Amino acid sequence: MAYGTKVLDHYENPRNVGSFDKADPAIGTGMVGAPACGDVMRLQIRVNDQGVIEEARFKTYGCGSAIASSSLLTEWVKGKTLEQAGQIKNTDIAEELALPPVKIHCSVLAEDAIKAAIADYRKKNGKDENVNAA
Amino acid sequence: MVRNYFELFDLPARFDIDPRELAAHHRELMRIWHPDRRYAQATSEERRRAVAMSADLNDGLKVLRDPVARARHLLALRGVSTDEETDTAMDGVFLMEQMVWRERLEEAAGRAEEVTALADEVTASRQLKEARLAAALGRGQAADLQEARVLVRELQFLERFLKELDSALTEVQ
Repeated sequence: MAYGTKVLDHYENPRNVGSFDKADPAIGTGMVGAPACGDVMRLQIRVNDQGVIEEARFKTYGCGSAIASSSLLTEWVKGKTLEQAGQIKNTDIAEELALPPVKIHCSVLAEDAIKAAIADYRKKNGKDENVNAA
Repeated sequence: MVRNYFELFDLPARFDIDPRELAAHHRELMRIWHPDRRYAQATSEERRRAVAMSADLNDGLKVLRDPVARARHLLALRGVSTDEETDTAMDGVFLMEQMVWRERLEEAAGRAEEVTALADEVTASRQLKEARLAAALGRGQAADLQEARVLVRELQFLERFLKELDSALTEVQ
């Protein structure tokens, strides 16, 4: 499959690959997987006292679109509050990367990963808001 | 409505089926429905029906002879969708294991011995999960169906990875 230039750029030069210490209370970790394609994605955020994401790291095993989606997401969430980051939609990612329809699920994976990371951070810090994780 | 392949093949709707019985029923039905056989004189309507039936029979055979596909089909018939395209929430321990396995494949850097050892481990895990899947579907209560759903999703994951391991090994040899 031919990848778009933005996907290729993130695939060849992925941003913010790596990990943080899961046990650190300032870190939220989201792990998700897509059974259909066997992709697995780990997204971590470092959050300051004001609830702003200072840094994000990811590790993704999957196709170019899955790697690009998570790489892009780590750039996007930096400097955002948890609320703002939680509002990022998979369609925003798919649009920015010009993903073809068969690769839309890669952007869904990324959206679910940031939601899971935020939920993990809130749970660890006793800020579970009991919002519907729809 | 989901097409019921067990009914199509006149087999009991359960996970444990006899593969020889499945193959025999498929052969028998294909003798009746194969569009090339006795439809030379038939109307176009009859021919269309034969083409559709034989396509169904071949799809059904593929589904029923593969354990994971058969389990997925059974669950669908009982109203449980496995959502492999859309539901990305999976057990944390399972996902961690997937990460570690993929890291090991990366670190093996094509060394056949290490890739083979990893493939053996994944295959053993698949066998365990398939046995649990058979047991859960055999019991068939609501909670068992949910367990089976999780297992089908995990097995689908493992199958993908085993294919990756397989092509890694082919590259080596």
